[in-house]
Amino acid sequence: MKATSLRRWLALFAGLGLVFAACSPGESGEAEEPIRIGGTLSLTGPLAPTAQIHDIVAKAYVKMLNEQGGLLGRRVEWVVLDDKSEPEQSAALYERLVTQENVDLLMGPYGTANITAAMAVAERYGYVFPHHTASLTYAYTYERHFPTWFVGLNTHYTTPEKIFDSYLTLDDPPKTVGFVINRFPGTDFLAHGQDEQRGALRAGGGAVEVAKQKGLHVVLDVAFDIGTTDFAPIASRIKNADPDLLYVGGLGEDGPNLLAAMKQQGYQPRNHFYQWPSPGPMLAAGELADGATSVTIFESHEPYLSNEGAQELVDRYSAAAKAGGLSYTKPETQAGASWAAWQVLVAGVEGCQCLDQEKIADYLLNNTVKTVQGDFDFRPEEQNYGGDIQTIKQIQDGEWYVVWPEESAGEGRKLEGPLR
Amino acid sequence: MTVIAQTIVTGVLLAGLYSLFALGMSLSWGLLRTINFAHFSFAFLTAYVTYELATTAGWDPLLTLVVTIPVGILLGVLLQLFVTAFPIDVFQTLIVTFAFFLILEAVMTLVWTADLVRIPLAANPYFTRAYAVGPLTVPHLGLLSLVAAALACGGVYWLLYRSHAGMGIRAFVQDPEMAAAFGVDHRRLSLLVAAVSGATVGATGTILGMLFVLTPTAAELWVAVIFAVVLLGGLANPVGVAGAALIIGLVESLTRQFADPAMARLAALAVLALALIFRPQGLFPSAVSGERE
Repeated sequence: MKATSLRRWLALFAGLGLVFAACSPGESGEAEEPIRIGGTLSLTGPLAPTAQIHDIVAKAYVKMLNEQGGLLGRRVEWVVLDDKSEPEQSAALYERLVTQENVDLLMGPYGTANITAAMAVAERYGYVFPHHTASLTYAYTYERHFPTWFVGLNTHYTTPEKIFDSYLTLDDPPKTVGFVINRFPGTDFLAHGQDEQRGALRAGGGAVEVAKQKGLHVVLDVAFDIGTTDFAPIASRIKNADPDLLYVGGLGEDGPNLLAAMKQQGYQPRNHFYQWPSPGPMLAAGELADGATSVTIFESHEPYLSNEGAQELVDRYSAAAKAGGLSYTKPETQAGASWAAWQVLVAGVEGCQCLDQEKIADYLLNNTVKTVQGDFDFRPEEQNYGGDIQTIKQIQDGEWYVVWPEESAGEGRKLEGPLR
Repeated sequence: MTVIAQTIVTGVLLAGLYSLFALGMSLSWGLLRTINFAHFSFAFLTAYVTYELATTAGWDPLLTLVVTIPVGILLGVLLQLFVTAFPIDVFQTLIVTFAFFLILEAVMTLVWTADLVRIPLAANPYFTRAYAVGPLTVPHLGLLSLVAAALACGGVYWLLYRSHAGMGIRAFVQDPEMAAAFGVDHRRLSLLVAAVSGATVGATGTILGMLFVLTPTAAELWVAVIFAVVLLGGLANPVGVAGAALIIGLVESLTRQFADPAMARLAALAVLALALIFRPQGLFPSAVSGERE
C-alpha cells in the first residue's frame, strides 16, 4: 500500500511539474521579459519640487501603457534613480542605467543641467534620448535627442517676440518695460540672448534686445541670484522705474516672493509677466497675482484637450497628483512636456516595431509625432527642434487660462491689461 | 535720500530674521559644543507646522507660535539628550546633526511632498501688510522678525549675564570640573540652553512659514548666511549675533538696491571672509571667554 501511495504522489508531482513547465516562459518566454526604460529624476534636492511632477507622469504613463497591453506586446518597467538634483550624479547614473541595469530605452531627467549631463552619456552609447525640460536649446547637437519643451531652436527670439506681440495687441499697450532676471542659465539666456552663433542658433536675441526692436523703452534691467529670499530692494527699484510691463525672468517661487515685496511697498505692476513660475504658489498669492502672465505649452482646456492623449493626461495626472498630495493638481507645461516625451519614445518604438536605437531615431526624424502638445516634426537642421508652440497664459478669476494667440485661447478668454 | 533710508530699514528688518534664526545655533555651538546643522531642518519643520495649522486647521498663522515654540523646545532638548548620551566631540556633532538634517528633510518630503507650498494669502493677512512711517515702508512680518529677535537676544543676554542660571552656564562652559565642584548642575543647565535654542528656532519657523514658499530643501538656502552670522557674531554672544546680522543684512540690502542684486549674497560672504582674515575669532567676542573650538 505504501509503495502504491508513494507512486501516486510521485505521479501527481510529475504531472504538476509538466503543467508548470508548459506554462512557464522557458525559451519562448524571452519575449515576455519586460521592456526596461531607465532614467533619473531629482527626487531629492532643490529640483525635487518640479521633478516630482515628472515622476508622477512617468508612473502614470507606464501604468497606462501596461493596462493597454504594454509596448511591442511586452510589459514596461520604469527604472528611475534619484540624481539628487546634481548633474554629476545624473551622468553617473545614466552610465549605470546603460551598463549595469541594461535598460532597453532611456528617458531624460528633469532640468537643463541634468539633461545636458545625461545627454552626453546617451550620445556615447547611441541611445535615443527624449527629454522634456531643457532650456538651453543651442547646447543640444546630439542627433538622437528629442526635445518636447518644443520652443524652437531660436527661443531667445521667438519667446520674447510672442510675449511682446501679445502685449502689443492691448488697447493700451505698454511703452516701457522693466526686466528682473534670475541668474539661472535658462532665464538669463531668454532675457539676454547669446553673444555668439552656436551651431544653427542665431546670435543675439533675448527679451531685452527684442523689446527694444519692438519699440519698447527699457527702464530697468537687474539680475538676482538663484535662491534670493529678500526681494524688498528689488521691489523698490521696480517701484522707482515703474515700467508699463514688468518682465520677471524668474522661476519657482520667485514670482510670489516678488509680488509680496511689491505689495509691501504699495506697488502694483500695470502688466506683469513671469517666465517659469510654479503655478500653484502663484495662484496661492491670490489677488496679488491677478493678471500675471506666463508662457505655456499645455493647459487643461480646449484646444489642448483635443490633442492626442490630452484627456488621458488630465484624468490620470490629476488623480495621481491629488493622491500624491500636490497642491496644484492640474497638468500644465511641465506635465504636458513630460507626457509628450513618453509619447515620443513610444511612437518611435511602435513606429519601427523594434528596440533598435538607430531605427527608433530614424522613425522619429522622418515622421510626425502626435502628442498632447500638438504635432511634432523634429528637424535635424534645427537640432531636432521644430516651431515654437508656446502660448501666453494669464491668471484670470483665480485660474490660469491661455489668452493668446486667439486660436489657442480658452473659451471667451483674451489678454487683459493694464491692471491700473 | 528716501531710497537710502528705505534700504537701511530693509536691511535692519532683514537682520531681525537673520539674528533670530542664528541665535539658537550660536548658543548650541558656543555653550553646548554642538554645531547643530539640524537647526535648519528644525526651522523648516516648524515652518511646515505653521503651514499645516494655518491651511488645514484654519489657525491664525501667528497663533501657531504656541505650537511651534514648544515643538522647537522639544527638538532642541531631544537633540541635547542624544549628544550627551554619546561621547562625541564638537566636530562629530556637526556630522551627526548633518545626518539628522538629511533625515528630517526626507521626513518632511514624505509628509508634505517636495512640492512648493505656501499659506494662501486669504489665510495669511500678515504676508502683505505693511506700515507707512512717513515715506518709508515697514512690512509687518519684517517688524515682527525684528521684535522677536530683540526679545530673543535681550532675553538670552539677561539669562547669561543677569540670572543665576546664566552664571552657572558660563561657569560650566569655562571650567566644567570647577563648576561641578561648586554644585552647578551641568546637565540641567544644558537642557535649559537647548530649550532656549529650540524656542528661537520654533519662532523662526513660524516667521519663515508666513514669509516664504516652503519646500523641504529650502533649508539649504539659509546655511551660508546663518553660518556667516554665527561666525561673525562670536559664539553664544546675543549682542554679537544681532550685530553680525545687522552687518550682513545691510550689506545685502545695499547691494541689492545700489549695485547688482545678484551679488548681494556674495558681498555678504566677502565680509565674512575679510573679517575672518583679520579677526579669526569673529567681529564680536564669544560670550564665554577662553572657550573656542
